[in-house]
Amino acid sequence: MGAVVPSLSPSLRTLTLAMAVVSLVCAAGGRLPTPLRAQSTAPTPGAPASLSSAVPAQAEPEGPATAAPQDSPRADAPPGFPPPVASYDIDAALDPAAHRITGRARITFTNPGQVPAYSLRLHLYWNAFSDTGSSWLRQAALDGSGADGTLEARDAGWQQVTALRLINADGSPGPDLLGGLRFIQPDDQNADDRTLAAVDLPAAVAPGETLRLEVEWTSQVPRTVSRTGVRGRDYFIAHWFPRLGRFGAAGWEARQFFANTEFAADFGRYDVRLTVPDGWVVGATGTEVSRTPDGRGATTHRYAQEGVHDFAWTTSPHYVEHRRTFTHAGLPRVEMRLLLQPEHSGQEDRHFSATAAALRHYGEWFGPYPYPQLTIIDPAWGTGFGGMEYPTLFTAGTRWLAPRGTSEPEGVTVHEAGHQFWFGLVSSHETDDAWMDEGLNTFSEARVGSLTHQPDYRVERFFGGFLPWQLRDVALSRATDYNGLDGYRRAGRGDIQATPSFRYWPGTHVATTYFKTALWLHTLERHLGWERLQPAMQRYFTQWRFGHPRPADFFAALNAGTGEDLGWFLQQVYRTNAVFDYAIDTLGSEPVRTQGVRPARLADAPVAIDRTADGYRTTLVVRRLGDGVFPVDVRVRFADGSEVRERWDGRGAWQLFQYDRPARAVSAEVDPDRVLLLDVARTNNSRTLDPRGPTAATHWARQWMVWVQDLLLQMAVLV
Amino acid sequence: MTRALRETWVEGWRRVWQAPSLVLLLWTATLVVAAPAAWLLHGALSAHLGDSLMAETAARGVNLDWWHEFLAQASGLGATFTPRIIGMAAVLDNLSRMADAQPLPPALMVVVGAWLLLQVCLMGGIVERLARQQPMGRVMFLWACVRHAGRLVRLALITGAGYWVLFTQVHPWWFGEVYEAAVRDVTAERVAFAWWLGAALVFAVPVLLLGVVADYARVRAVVEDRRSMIGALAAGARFAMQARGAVAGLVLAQLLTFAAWLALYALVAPGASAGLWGLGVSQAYIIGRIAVRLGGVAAQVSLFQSRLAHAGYVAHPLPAWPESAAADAILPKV
Repeated sequence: MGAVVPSLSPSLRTLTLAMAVVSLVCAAGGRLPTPLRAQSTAPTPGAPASLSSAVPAQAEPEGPATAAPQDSPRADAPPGFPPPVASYDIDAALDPAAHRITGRARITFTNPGQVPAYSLRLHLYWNAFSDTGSSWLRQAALDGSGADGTLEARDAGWQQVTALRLINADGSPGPDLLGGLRFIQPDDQNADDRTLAAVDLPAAVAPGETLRLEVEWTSQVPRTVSRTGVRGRDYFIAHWFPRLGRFGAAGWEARQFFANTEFAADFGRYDVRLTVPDGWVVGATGTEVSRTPDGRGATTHRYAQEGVHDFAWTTSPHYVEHRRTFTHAGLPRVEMRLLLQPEHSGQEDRHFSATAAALRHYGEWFGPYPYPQLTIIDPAWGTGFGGMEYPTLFTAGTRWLAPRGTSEPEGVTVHEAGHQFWFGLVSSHETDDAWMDEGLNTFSEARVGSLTHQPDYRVERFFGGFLPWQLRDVALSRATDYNGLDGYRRAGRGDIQATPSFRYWPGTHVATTYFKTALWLHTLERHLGWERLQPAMQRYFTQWRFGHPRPADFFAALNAGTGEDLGWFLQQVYRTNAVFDYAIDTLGSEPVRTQGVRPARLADAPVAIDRTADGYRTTLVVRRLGDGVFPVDVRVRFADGSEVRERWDGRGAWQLFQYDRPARAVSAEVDPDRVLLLDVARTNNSRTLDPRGPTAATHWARQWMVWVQDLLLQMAVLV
Repeated sequence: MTRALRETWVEGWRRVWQAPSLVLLLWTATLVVAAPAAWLLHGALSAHLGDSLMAETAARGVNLDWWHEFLAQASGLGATFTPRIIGMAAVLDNLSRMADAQPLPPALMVVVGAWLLLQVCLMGGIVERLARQQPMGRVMFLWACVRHAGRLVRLALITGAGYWVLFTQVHPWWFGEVYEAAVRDVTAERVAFAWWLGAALVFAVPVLLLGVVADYARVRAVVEDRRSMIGALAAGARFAMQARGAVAGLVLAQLLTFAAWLALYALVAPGASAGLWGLGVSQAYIIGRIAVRLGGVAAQVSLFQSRLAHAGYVAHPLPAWPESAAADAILPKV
């Protein structure tokens, strides 16, 4: 099978550029391109190897082709950071009484693409929480597990742009753009959605040229939703300011806000001054530069950071601050700042050690974390802020009662710290290719977890979910539990991974995004060996640090890094929803007996024979029950202690193996080393001629019966 | 605990001690009801494991991978086979299910329904035996069960309706709206837990009140041979009011005894790999739990008899079977 997927990158670029040119031609002819229609969620399996259908770039369509640039200075980036594309200088103030933020941002945008920018795209994502007509709430309602699609007016959040103007080269106010600001819905044509706005520019910004813009806005902080908002006096403020979409090679790549996916933007410098009540602790992207009380009960905290693509912050009077320095040979020092809830006092070490484990292992495996500080936010109870990543800042998540020997808070801490690498630095397009950061990060987190916080026992929570009970008999493992095999098993026939992530079915998007990717990467690790996969991932990281890779870029890096054409596998896991399932169908071992007629010599007449030779004939049939194909080993064990191991390419529907050996077979197993972690049914991978199924069933039926007896006695108090 | 209350409590345990067959009877009843369901589950587990090598680890302890795989395809009883059945977690699961008013798994409705019916029918005989404080014999016990069954079923239906209102109407409102409103801006889990605990204790009050009234209604229905269950409920309520201190003390003693038994079991509860000894420990826990319950029932009977009658008072006399016709013929005529 050819390496279809990895060969896409050049053709993708060409095709995307061609689409952009066609769009421009259409625009010049006064004909706007047809809006992106709601598409089938599944690309046709086996379709031509182009990503353009799955990941449609939203090419810049509008404006005069001859517009002149405003100016063209391009700020140099500090060493180690990329040239800024979208930089923000923000002043914002929080009114905790009204839960309202007013702000002003001066945005410097340098066109990084290969086509001029004739308009701007602004994310106004808090409008997703303004009314139930938003695409976010509609999608959340489909899921059924999260937000239910209802919204009380007192809990709503919104963003209103109150001023929008260009800034001339001399710093004076330029043309006012507010009148031209309009909401667009390119992704689902939901006219009620007001999360993405567009405005035409009076003059195009040519590639490499710079535009300055000033925007003022007012926001109502929503009650906590989607890891943002307020509960009590605990604020977590994310995707909160009018932010430019990402500008790709062929134009804007801006999406509406959906519940399934997160954000994407360009790298730049953020310099943000946040005014909050005196005494409140602030945590934010970057490093705190200054803190200035205004003498009237408020303090302005200034945070700045180069080379990031988002800015989030939190404030609360409750946080307790802890600091620790991460040091490890060969990796840069990082100041770790932990804002901990008072009731989680005593869990500092767990947060710091998990963060340090991520910085160390990700740093060693992929590349160093380049920023001087990393802020860990311990979210308040009930806020739902936990488990979210932003550049140089992330929210972890723990409980008041968090027994040791479990992965809470370690698991989520490693995961979100890991997102500083797969998201913060390698900034794939989260709304289109969420698996590229969530999946890679789940794989990486699981690997770290298996090395650090072990043993990790399952915890069940009772009585309103408050009281934990640790099941010391149930240890969690990387291969199955951390990778989410159970979730994937139930959703293996979900969306094809190549489908744009925001179009995944809400009920299975987690399995498709997180678990499937972790499983296929771990399968590759076992297939190739970590010593081959790790350099390939390191190569990808190094190549795309501060970049915006697409799937083809990752696949190309994998091929180049491993020195092997992996297209046969990547094609299946990325472009299909093939399910893998190999099984032992038949295992028998009988004395070798020959019956029938056979001539003693060539010229003789056949005579009846019935011979039983010494030894046994073992017959084994292995089947491929799924449509996924993977080479597998087959191992047969015999009563004399010997074993046979063979390799099957796994392509056929079945494969027969027969052995004449002195001993009878006792068991057979396909994929005995469990390389293929995507195999959704492991139980049928083996068969023994000395089965213990009834013994195990008795063992567990007895335990279950005790539970039922206790339940009966519990119910008896009611009669 | 006052001396009188302590004596009542001890008297209850003494009566249970004198009638261990009642404990064994209820224990056997749990087995009779649960075992067929366990057998069905055994079949499902055995069929899923088949000849797989996965059974080797599953027979020794937890094979979580297989467990998940089984659950992914399981339905009915099989869907209730979760890691929460292991050891002490099983007990917590059942207690928590009631505290959180989680519905029973549909597949277990038949099992639980059969058990409740059996329990109601047996309770008539059990209360009468505990009240009489003397062996009744199997036939008399069965006769007492039958004689009271219809009444106690009616009583169970009435109190069941009360519980239904409490758990399906009041609980969702109390925890869904009132509690949620109380913790709307709470950001500390321990504070929220305190609220939850408070809400649970408040909710427990009507549940306990209903339970106490129903318990004394049952005692009065049996001991006083009452026909009207509404009347028995009213009488039970009156008694609970009149002797509220002792009644509350017995409830508290019952809860503390139960909590102590749970704590003891938590220390020794067998893990997933335990073999037959683990089953023995678990069954000892079940037997103890039954004894704790019967101790409470016996103490209620004792309390009622001591306040409104005398120890051993039962209104309906034990029936005296007529002698056979032959014996009757040779008896002297009077």
